Amino acid sequence: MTDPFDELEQRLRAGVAQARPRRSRRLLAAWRLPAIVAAVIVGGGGVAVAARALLLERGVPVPDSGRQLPADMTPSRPRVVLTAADPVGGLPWGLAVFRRAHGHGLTCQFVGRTQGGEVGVVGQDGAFGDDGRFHPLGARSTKSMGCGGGDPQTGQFIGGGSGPPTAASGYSGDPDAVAGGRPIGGCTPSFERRRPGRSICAADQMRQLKFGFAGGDAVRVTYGNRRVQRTVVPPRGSAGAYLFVLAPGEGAGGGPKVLRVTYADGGTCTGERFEAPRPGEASSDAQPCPRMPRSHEPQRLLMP
Amino acid sequence: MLRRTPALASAPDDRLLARVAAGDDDAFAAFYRRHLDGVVAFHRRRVPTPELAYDLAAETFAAVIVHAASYRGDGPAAGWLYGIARNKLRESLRRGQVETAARDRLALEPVALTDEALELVEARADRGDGALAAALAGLPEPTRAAVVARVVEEASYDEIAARLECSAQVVRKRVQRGLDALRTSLEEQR
Repeated sequence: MTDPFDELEQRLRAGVAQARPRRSRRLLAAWRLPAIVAAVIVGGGGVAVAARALLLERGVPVPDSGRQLPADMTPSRPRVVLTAADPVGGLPWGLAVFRRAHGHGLTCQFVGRTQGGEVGVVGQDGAFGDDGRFHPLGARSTKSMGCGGGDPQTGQFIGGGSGPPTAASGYSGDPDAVAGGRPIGGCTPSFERRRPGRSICAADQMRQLKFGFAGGDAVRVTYGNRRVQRTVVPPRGSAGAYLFVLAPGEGAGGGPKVLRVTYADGGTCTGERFEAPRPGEASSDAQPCPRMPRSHEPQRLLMP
Repeated sequence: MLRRTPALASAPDDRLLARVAAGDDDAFAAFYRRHLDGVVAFHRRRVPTPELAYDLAAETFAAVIVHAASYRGDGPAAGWLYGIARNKLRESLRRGQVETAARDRLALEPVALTDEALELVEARADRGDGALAAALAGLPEPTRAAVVARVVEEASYDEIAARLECSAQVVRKRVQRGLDALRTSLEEQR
């Protein structure tokens, strides 16, 4: 197999000679590329012409979810503080935060697929008519939002989330909500469960997300079990942000998945379990982190 | 068969770039091999697929060739290189298509990527990330914080200064010192 970087080196070497000042003739451009939108990869060992498109075409924004923002909350523009690759491919996932546009003390976070510094939903798996576009989410349109006290700048814990599987599209709202004159569609597990007779979401269209903020002095966050282990180094100034995205069944049979945080002073602690203990099962040997309350508590306490 | 460039392998970046500007492809190869992992990792962290990261790395190094003569040596060459990488990424994001201007200038033929080749791209990105993480961990905390804020988070010097409670001038010095140390560390790891 030829290393593509060796091939590139050979071509660039030839380019050095082309670029010499004494040879200033105008060169014909051989790298003519169509403005395709979606990356096309030929699977099964076939040759893939290098995909050139970087962004999905922008679609209509996700409409207002109807979810109430905390009282007196005029949200700032959401900021993506951390991204994580999708285990299957496509746009990465992003963890975004917004806060009161004026004042401090309350920060909200939400997740979705991310592109160009925004978090949104990809038109796939039935959502948005499978249009393959990126539909931006805002503070008022996300359904996955959670809020808590503290602030990424001060390094205080502000909450996090995990729980039911999330649609791979990134959409967590009502499939019957209308955008662009049509129902959004797709399959949202939390909505399907409430509607007897509706279909069960296909497993391969779901993702398991684990995200939150371990504190400003967290330097490393790991998540997994005996079969799967992921590590995040929280970006500085992100209050120890972590985001893990797992495919359905990933790590199955490896025991409960556990979150472990390492702090700058070398201290470590283990956060709450991802799955609730089953009846009769030991409640886990994991000890909650003293500086990282269980993820749902700040939201419950601070959401009005 | 690729030529080896042992005499140039330890040459400083600024000397390599001067020779690239004069048309020395061996000097370019030395520069390319020194920084390839880091540049691939830089782009891979920011785009959704390995082939996009590969294309952006190709465009970044093509731009190194095109603009080598403009490097004045008034800052770390690594900073100059990653400035190009950032600009290429930013322009590509703006256009919704990977920038090709430098490769067009050099009349480069695109490299077809097999699935196996894409795995090599991922492996190189992982290697670049691992080497960088190890090198970063070895920096003193104030220097590490400045480098991460500037190079990874792309924060402005003023913003970093406010965050670290020091002057922008101090931040600049820390970033430069950190990049120099990183370069040395990454070279030692090879």
